[in-house]
Amino acid sequence: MNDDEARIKAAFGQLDLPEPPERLRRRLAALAVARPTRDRAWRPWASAGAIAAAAVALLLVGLAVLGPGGTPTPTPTAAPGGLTRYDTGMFSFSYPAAWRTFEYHVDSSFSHSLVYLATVDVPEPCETTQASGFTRVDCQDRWSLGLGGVVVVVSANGRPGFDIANVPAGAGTLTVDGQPGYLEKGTAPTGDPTWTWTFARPGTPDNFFTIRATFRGPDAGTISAELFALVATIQFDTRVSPVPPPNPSPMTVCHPVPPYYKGVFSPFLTCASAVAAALAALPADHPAIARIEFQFGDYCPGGCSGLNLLDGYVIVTFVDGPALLLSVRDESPTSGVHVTSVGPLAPQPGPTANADGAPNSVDATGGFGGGGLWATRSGSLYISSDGGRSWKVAPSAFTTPGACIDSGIGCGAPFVLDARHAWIINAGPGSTEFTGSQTDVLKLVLVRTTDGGTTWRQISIPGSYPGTTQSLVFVDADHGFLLCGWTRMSPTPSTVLRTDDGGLTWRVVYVGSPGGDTASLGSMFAASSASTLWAGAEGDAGPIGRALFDVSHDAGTTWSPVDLPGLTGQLGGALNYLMAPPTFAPVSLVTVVSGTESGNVTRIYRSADGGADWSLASSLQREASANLLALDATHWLLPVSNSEGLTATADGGKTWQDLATVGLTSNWIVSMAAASSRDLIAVVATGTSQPGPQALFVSHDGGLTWAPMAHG
Amino acid sequence: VIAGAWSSSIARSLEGRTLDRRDTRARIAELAERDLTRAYRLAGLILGDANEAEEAVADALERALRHADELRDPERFRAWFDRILTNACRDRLRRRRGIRLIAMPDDVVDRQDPFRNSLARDEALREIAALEPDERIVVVLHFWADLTLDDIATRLGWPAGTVRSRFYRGLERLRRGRVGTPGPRSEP
Repeated sequence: MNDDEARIKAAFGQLDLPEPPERLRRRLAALAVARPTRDRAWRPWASAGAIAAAAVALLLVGLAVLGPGGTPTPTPTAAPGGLTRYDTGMFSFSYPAAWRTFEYHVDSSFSHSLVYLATVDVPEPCETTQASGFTRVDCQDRWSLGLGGVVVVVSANGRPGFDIANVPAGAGTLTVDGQPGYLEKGTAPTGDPTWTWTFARPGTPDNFFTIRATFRGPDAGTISAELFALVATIQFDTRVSPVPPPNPSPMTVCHPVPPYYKGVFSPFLTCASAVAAALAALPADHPAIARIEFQFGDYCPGGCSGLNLLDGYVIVTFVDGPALLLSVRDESPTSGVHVTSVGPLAPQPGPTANADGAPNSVDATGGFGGGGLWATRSGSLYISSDGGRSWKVAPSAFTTPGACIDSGIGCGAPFVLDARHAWIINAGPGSTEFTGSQTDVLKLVLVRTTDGGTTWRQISIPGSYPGTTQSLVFVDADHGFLLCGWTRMSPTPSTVLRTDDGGLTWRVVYVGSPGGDTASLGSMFAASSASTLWAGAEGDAGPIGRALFDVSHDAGTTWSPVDLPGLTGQLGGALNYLMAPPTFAPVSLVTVVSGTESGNVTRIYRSADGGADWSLASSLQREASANLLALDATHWLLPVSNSEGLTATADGGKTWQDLATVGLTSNWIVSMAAASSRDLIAVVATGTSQPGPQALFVSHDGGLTWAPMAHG
Repeated sequence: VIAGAWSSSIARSLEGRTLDRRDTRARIAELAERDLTRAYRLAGLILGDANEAEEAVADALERALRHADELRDPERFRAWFDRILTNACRDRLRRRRGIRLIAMPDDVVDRQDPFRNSLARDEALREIAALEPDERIVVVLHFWADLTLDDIATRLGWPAGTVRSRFYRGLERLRRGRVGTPGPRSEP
């Protein structure tokens, strides 16, 4: 650490910083007690909940008529001693008559609420809103506890592998009407006691009931006594026939799921059984399973309707071997849950080849004409000529070991023209660490192949370009351009070099004025012909004192600003930047992200004449997070920020709809490319919030479903 | 024969997926509560504004609780939450892009805001307000939160090179004190 750094560090250390306001702690507490909110709707969920509730009611009526003992018991029923009896349909209990009941049926992955009992008002927990293309349902606790208040939530739960005998640490064991159970005494973030009684459901594996009570003093002793009394009065309702126990061979279990079991039987449990059944059909020597991932509920390939709660996909990853993609369709109650194999997916490229342990981590990807896709990973170049179905791996010959000096802007970005021709720029011998100083050196080496990566040739490019960001484009096998773009820390002005012999020799055609800034070019670099080049501001390192987007009609010698309606006169840099270089096939598009007072705006401009004139095709109040991908003239996909996944338009940007990204392990898309309107490739950062390596996925249905990249 | 092995394997695989969301949320809330002072100060240093810091932390908490089941390992809470919080701060900083930031003379500095006030009192840190958002994030995480540049890259999911360049750019601008004149910028 040098003196300046030490000084800054010391200054930070001596700062006198405030404590968070008490208000923030209260907000946290309020957030924490809210029930889980669903990001995306289970579209059928709201309607299914209503139908399921109706079905429960019907069931109860039927049982009341047919039940033993003759007299159906209305619920609730007055009981002596200021108590009232409540029958959930599965068990009944007594509670203080002063408490009110609220029958909301809130389903989540593992639970189904039966009733709320409270001394305070409990508003409807679920809010349904219509968003474009889907229904959004947000369910959370919306009650607040006053002094002396109590809210009790009674729920039925199902969880595969749940064992009531596994008592959590700190919990006290007890029995509830002869069934084993336990009590956990916790504290809500508000500081209020939250006690949860958990007890087994008779005769059914994996299923259990919970009674969760949150209460507030001053007379907490009385409330807790009332709660204990409530639990002591629980009686299981033997009129309900127990759920059939699983078949002794779990591999063949796949229950048709009657609607009134929704929420009682967890979708996971049902699907785990169905998935197990599908796996049973695999050859006996199949490798061990490493991981099973469920993606349910918010994606319905054929449109959601009725009770298909379980529609979705399952990815089964094996310890060593091909992964399996299973499609799950819920046709209950008519014919149950169906699991069909979409895969198996072909083997993933050498899982042991990567130090980071990721089976298919990648650095960069792109597409080229005629169905081509490429990706780089760990110094290897992968090329596919059939839309990602098969891949050819070029050995890691294109990097000069140890010579890829991190310029801070990245190195080794390739340009792949077709299945045979590829070029990669690397830092060469003699380069120094980038510090932003005038004495930095960055020598460039071009590595090229003309035979699809079988052989590589290194070519040194004259000059030194420290602190620049290098962008390479080729319009054919001979004619190419290299932009070494000035950045705010660069001692080197923007420079454009040109080759007419496939990269063997280069000459400088443009140099910005020293000091960069106004004469620099942005590094979002593209060529639409051998004479027409484009350069736009990039968001991070690009220039700030120059037009947002420039064009050269004389192969890079002179540059002039491009007029983008609505952004005329705007400069590039922090406020406006190009998300990616412009693209000219299958349609000419450029995407600009702008910071505005009301948040980020993404504008998409389209040109019908190859870039002579641009018009605004779409303006979204969202921030693009990777390149716009045009599948044809009107079908475009756009990754949007904060891991919101993909949004899509089918009408050239007039309307947009968010797509579920089925099969992607993350919604955080780093870049995308297309080989055709159906065959796509995407780099995603694995883990939506936790840091993870980047992984490569391919889609063969225009982005609806995805599978890890395979090569064979 | 293999059916049993498979079913137990499935059960094992499913085990990690069966955390009750309510428990998970409570745990996240507890971890967040414990780390609230650091989170608030981190946001305050990145944003230079106490009100904004509070809003950013609240945004981040809301996001964290909504995605509570993504945190598989409580040990990684801080790394996980740092990323969410930083993104929340970024959103706020980006919204401010339309506002021109200039270094202010001492007597104009808003004495009301504890973060701005604290930063403005120090000569070395006065200029931090005018750094680009991402530069500022890296500088604060490195110098104040004591993270290495590689840690920052991992935590935020940014390429290491990008973190480095942002750091050195930020550092250089602090050092030169040239941040008050960052060149022409477009006006909102």
